[in-house]
Parts: sequence; structure tokens; C-alpha cells
Amino acid sequence: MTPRMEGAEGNQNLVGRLEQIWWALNELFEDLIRRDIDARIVRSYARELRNCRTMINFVRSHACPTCEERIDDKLQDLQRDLEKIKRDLISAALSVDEDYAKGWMNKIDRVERGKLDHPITQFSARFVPGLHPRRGWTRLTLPRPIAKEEVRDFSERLGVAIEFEDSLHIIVRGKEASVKKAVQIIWVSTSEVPPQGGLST
Amino acid sequence: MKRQGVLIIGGGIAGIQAALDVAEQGVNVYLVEREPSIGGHMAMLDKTFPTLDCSACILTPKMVEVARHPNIGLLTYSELREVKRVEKGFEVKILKKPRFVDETKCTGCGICAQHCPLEVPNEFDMGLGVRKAIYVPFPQAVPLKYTIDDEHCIQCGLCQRVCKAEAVNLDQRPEVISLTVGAIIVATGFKIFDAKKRSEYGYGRYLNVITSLELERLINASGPTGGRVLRLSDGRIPRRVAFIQCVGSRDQRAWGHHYTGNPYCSRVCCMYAIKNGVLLKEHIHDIDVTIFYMDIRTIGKGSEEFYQRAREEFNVHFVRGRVAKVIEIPETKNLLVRTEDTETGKAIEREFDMLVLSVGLMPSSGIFELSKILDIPIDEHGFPQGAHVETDRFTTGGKGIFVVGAAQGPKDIPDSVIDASAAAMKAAISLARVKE
Repeated sequence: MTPRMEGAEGNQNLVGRLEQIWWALNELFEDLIRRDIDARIVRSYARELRNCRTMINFVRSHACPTCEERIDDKLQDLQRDLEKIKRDLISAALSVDEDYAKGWMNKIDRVERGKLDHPITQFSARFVPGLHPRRGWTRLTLPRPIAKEEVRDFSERLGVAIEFEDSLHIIVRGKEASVKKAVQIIWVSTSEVPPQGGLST
Repeated sequence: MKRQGVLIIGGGIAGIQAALDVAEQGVNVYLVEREPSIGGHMAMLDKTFPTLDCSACILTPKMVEVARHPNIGLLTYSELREVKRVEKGFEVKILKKPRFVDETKCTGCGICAQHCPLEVPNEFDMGLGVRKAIYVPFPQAVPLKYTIDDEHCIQCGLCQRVCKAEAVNLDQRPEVISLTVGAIIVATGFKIFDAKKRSEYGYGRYLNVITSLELERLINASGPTGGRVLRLSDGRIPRRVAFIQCVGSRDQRAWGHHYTGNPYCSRVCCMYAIKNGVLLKEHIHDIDVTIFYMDIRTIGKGSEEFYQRAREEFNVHFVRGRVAKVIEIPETKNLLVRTEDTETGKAIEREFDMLVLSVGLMPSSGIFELSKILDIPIDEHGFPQGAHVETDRFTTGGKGIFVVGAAQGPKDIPDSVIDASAAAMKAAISLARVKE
């Protein structure tokens, strides 16, 4: 059981710890999925993990002093739910072998005792003044730095405006279909990775 | 004999409450929501009036309860396509749109979104914040399943490569789900009035003219600015903010042969403007807040007292007058507001840093098509019509179909929740009768 501190700070500390446990359980879930262990049963835990994650995100993004009591209750529920997921996933892990399950138990035990395996989630607000909210634009993070001259041609050919934030980030504005086409072409031309099929275009 | 299920269309607060109340009676519920997450407009709000309770703190636990309830089947990113009345209920067909993510594998970890190279305006933030092309609309979404936005995705395949649960499935196709239910509850909520139709206020032309829902996102701690109210033009904190009331409500001005406003009162705009005025005063110490109104309508318990507190304790200014014109000052992007103070009879012109349009509530988009599918009547404003305005406002279009919350007409959260519980009871009674 994780020790408690009082108040909003205590809740944030506790949710930070629970988030670490969540990550460890998530890794175990992913590994069991990859190994195709008890597939039907294990897959039913995707929903449980998602619901726990929603509550973690909720507490993280709402440091709301007037709702401390309510959040306190929810954190206790969350602790109980994670405990149940742990029990069930570990018993699925036992069907791989005992050492495998023991390895995961040790890992989860370590994070329960406070070892930070994953960076704490930060919900970084992103708001760009002047970036018109009601007009089409896409911001692209490029796989490699690019020179302005390289995209000038696309800009003219596809009728879009391309704005450089820095050599790795561009904003493409214009009609939706043209923006998507331009972004796709620029991505391919700056990437070694060929595009994949599947989605309708 | 197991009772037949209930189909609920719309996953806002009314749909959520109705789903929980029906499910608690041991009846199966199918909750259909067209967006990737349930929550509706209430999920976008910071605080609720008149108590200033945290909206997410009320809503999120209910959303999770829906996802966990053994009697509730949650069909998000899905739309009703066909309804056929049969002897003991309805045969329905629901289209489940592809998320391109396998929901039996996705745990909502968000690694995929971290690697996605695209950012686009987030609809949930009214376009003021950004999201990736693989996304959840907000951090506490339910279900927290990631969705690939087909319109923006460039198929780079990065999300597929980084997902350790191998949940990304670019070959996913739409799926049609067939159900038989005994009753249907319509809880499709509302859409807001398009502020561009009141061109004299400059919305869409002047960046510092925003709608009330945009302000809700700016003032929200989990919104795009982390709860800091900033001007869209330059990111500065506004010191003089005005609200214009009744934008698209109680307004029948015609443009040619076409009415651009709605004759009815939207019931919630006075209270949400007062609430946001108070919140602005709490957020920004030296801010000046003015509300331009026709009449102040404080509907609901505690509302009048809250209005009086806003005037006296928080010093929110109220000016009675319909704003005639808004002009942007090009150098500062500030806004000049021209009106007549009808209490003094004087014409006034005042400068503000930001202008908030209190837009009215309208029938939700797609309600006309839905009314055709369900064969339910629509009133003169486009809202589904109840059987009787005083004695049975829930039943619509004959036996077994009920309409609740703001789908019926403009309504606040407490009334929508009461409606939902009442309709849940109506649906349960209707199922019991079918059984007999």
C-alpha cells in the first residue's frame, strides 16, 4: 500500500506513484499481448487500463482544491483497481513460466516502492497567439532539418503558405486538401521511410 | 425473461445520466456517441453555475462509471443509421467508424501521439489548442482509445512502429452493428449559434472577438492555455473584457427572406456569462468585466443570488443595451463597442481588450436526419417535439421513443440531469409494458 500525504500535494504525489504502477502494468500487458498469452482474457484488461489512465489523467490535469475529498475517494478506487489488474495480469504471466512472473512482480514491486521508471506525464498546454483558430493549418515536425528553398517549390505548386518556426518545424496553411497533400509530399521528401497504405485518402 | 435493452443516442451529461439510471435497473443499455469520447459540452466547461463546482470533477467519475458498468455497451465514434419499428421494440443498425486502432489492445498510453509528426487544431478546444493526427480529444476522455484522424493523417506509419501493443491497424474498416432494443432515448444535446451570422460583432474577422465556448476552453485549467485567459491576437492578458448577450437568441432579424437568429431565449446564456464574469474576476485581479444585456434571466435555484453576488461582491458591470456595432482598432486589435444604455438613454462607446459573444443554443447538427430515421416530429425551431409540453414532454414520435436534455430545447445541466433520470424511468416503464 502506498503511504498517504494530506491535501492536494499529497494527491498529486500519490497519483504520480500510481501512474508509475500503471506504466509497469501497461508494459506487462503489452508483453503478454505480444506473446499471445491468454489473448481473450488479457485483452479485456485494455479497457481496465484505459479507465485507470482516464482517472490518472483527470487527477493530474485538475488540481482542483474544492474537490479534494471527491478526488481522495477516486484515488482509493484507483489504487484498488490497479491492485486487481496486477493480480490478474500476474496470474496470466504465470502461464509463461514462474521466473517470468517473478520478474514482473519484482519490477512492479520496485515502482510501488518509489522507483521512477517513466517520466511523470505533463499536460503541456499549447496555444500559439496569432495562429488563427478558425482557419486550416497543420504543423509538421520534420524528420530532418530542411532549408527554406527546399519547400518553396511545393508552396508555389500546391498553393499553400509555408511558415518556418525553426529548421525542424513548419506550419502549412491553405485549403485542407492542399495542406494535406503538401504535408505528405514534404514528409516523404525529408524522410527515408516510405508511406504505408491502409487509410483512405 | 430478460428485459429488452435501451438505446441511448448521445453521450453528453443527459445521455450519461440516462444510461446509468437505466442500467442500474438491470436493463442493458447501448450508449451511442458519434465523437471519439463521451462527455459532450459539459466536458468542455471549467465550472458550473451557480455553485462554481468543477465540471470535470462531477463528470469524469460518471464517464468512467459508464465505461465500467456491466450493463452498458459503449459505442463511441458510432452513428445511428437505421431504425425499424417491430412488434416489441426496434431493430437498429449502428455504423461504427474505424479508429484504425484496435480497442482490445489500446490502453491509452499515448506513446503513438508523442511520435506523430502532425499537429492540427483540436476541435475539443474550439480550435484554440492543438492535437496530433492520432489523438484522444482530451486527457480524461472515455474511452481513452486513440483514434487516427483520416482527414489529416499522412500515413507515415510512425504510430504503428512505436505501439508495443501492436494496436494500430491501418486496415480497419467501418462496421455495422445490428441490435434489437425495446426503447430509444434521444439525448443529442445542442450546437451553438454560428456567431459569424452576426457580422456586426466581427467574429471570424477580429481575433479578439471570441464565443463563450471558446472562453470556456481558455479559462479551463486543462484547456490549451492551462487556464490562463489570453488574447488570441497577441497572447496578452486582457484587462477589459465585455460580454454581449443574446447572440442568436431572442432575435428574429431577417437577411432577405432568411432569419439569421432564433426567436427563443436560450435560457443558459445569462447565467454562463455571469459565471464567466465572476471567474474572470477570480483569475485576473485587476480586470474590468462588463455585460451588455437585454434582460437578465436568472433561471434556476440559486441563480438570482449568484447574479446579485456578481454585481455587488465581484463588481461585474451590467449595461442594459443591445450592441449595435463592434470595430477593431487596427494598431492594438482592441475593440470599440457602440451601444445605447437603455437605462440612461445615452449612446455609449467603450474600448475593450476582448469581447465574448454569449451565443445561443440550437438543435444539434444532424438532428433533422435523425428525426427522419426515428420518424419523430420536429418543432418550429428544429428541436424534437414531446407529446405534450406540460404533461409528457419526453415521449416523442409514439411509443418507446423519448427525448431528453438540451435535445428537447435549451436547458442547463441540472435540468438535463433531471430530464435524463425521468426519461430513464419512462423507458423502464415502457419496457415493462412490452414484457406484459
